[in-house]
Amino acid sequence: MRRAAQYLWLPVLVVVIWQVAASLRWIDPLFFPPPSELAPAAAASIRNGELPRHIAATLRRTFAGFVLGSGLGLLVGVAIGIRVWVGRSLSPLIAALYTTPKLGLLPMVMLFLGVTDVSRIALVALGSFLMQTMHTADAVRGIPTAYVDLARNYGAGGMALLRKVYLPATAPGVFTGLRLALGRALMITVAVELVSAPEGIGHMIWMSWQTFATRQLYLGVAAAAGLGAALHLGLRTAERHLLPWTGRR
Amino acid sequence: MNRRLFAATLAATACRRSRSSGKRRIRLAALPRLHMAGFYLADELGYFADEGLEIEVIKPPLAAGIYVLLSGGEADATITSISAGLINAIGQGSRARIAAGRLRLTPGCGDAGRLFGSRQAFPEGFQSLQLLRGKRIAVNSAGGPQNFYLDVFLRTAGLTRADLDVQTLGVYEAAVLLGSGRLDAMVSLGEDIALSSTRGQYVEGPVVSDLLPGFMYSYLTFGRSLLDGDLAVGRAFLRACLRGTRSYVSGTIPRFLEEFARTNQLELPALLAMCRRSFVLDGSIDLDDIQRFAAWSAAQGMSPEEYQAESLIDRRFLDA
Repeated sequence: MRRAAQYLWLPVLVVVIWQVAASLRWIDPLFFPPPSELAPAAAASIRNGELPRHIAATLRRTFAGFVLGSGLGLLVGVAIGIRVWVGRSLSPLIAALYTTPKLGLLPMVMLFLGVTDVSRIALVALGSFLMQTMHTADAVRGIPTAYVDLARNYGAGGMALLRKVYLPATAPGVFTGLRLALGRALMITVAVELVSAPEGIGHMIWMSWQTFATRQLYLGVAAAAGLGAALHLGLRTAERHLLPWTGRR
Repeated sequence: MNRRLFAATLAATACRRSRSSGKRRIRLAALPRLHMAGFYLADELGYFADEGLEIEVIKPPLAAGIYVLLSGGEADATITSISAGLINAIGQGSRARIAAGRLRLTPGCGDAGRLFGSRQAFPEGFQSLQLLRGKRIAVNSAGGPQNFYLDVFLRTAGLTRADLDVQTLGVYEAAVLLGSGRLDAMVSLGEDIALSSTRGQYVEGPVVSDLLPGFMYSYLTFGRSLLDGDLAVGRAFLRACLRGTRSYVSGTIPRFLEEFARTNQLELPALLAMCRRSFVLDGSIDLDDIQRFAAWSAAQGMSPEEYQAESLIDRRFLDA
């Protein structure tokens, strides 16, 4: 109960201040519709299936890109961590791509892959891949060599090393990478949808902006924020259960 | 003390400014589009100055920004195509109204609402609108007239949106993708690839003005300051705008066109030779066309309800 209160008091306070400010006309309700108007609009949008349809489209792209990108990033990150020459070969490219705004690559990707979900998911996967690769490589590099030497001295071979040393030692770093990569995947998905997508939360936000539908605009932003929070909390919870030894709360 | 001094200096500066120009400033929010030529001509020829007006053009980066500027009182007027954004802003309580009509779809005049296709998708040309079935097609803006025109094409062909893949893309992105064959067709604004040197690379399709002749698609809209202030100011502004339009239609060329061609990499000769018969010379408003668009916007789920055209306009400036 106390834990929930700690999470919720600030958002609740913001909503209350927003409602009061809009009701007293301190802010223009045309631009800032009060939460009491947004709630029925959200309910209607859920009832007619519009909001669920957009959320589903965004989640589909986010998870497709995340699974592809993070899966590959995990493998490449491990390779970079255990083989110095792999790191030297890939680091310049990864560093350059990491700092490049992914949305800036969209026109190029669309020229190669067309105006389809393949382009959108490819960009999401790229963002997840880079994040996961860097965190995984750091986690593998960060394993004290003494752990590995000790295990080898006790006769641990390939699989045993992986299971007993590499996995437990890198898991916290890998999980941090997963959490950040998922967040990055959602961000890129919504950004790509803003520019070019027939559905999705980003499309909903952009469409609302173009048609001056301010209630829908806020619903879209709230849905994106809610999804981000839910995904973050979901992975945090999974981390607590899967990696109890890290002691993360 | 310093604050008082600053305020006094500011007031004095303001007084000097108003004494030096003595003109009422009108802030117009508009994108630099070709149909603005008459307006810029009015400014260049001093028609606004003749009416005691001084013009400041605010150019938001995107069309949707216009409604925010107008609704927030940061602009006094706007010249823009009809869109779901415009009618929703007014319908939901923004103090703004359509004050005059500006452009009509005119058969044989201009390329607004023309379909352009890629050679890969239409190797034999646009022989029939039925060929749109299964194609990927781009419109410039979800709530804008290009999207509305697309439905006119589809209705004529007996197709629905489920029969094709509609993408919302900027005209320049769409042109590049069309050229690369990644896009099958686009609905033109009339001032994009239609006026570029690359026009020949695309397959030219039908134009919506043949299917919807006379449809009024661009309007002059006034915001709070002109609607609630001295009516004479709004009337003077409209008078100068219409005078500029008439000069443009009669053949006078504004300097704006050269800059427009350069900025948008369009062919100046094609631009100068463009048909000018689409302009509405008396500013009259077509209520039926506004209603038709409002009905479409509501049917598409872009407006919460079908707003009545009469509630979106204000004729006081035209009636003078």
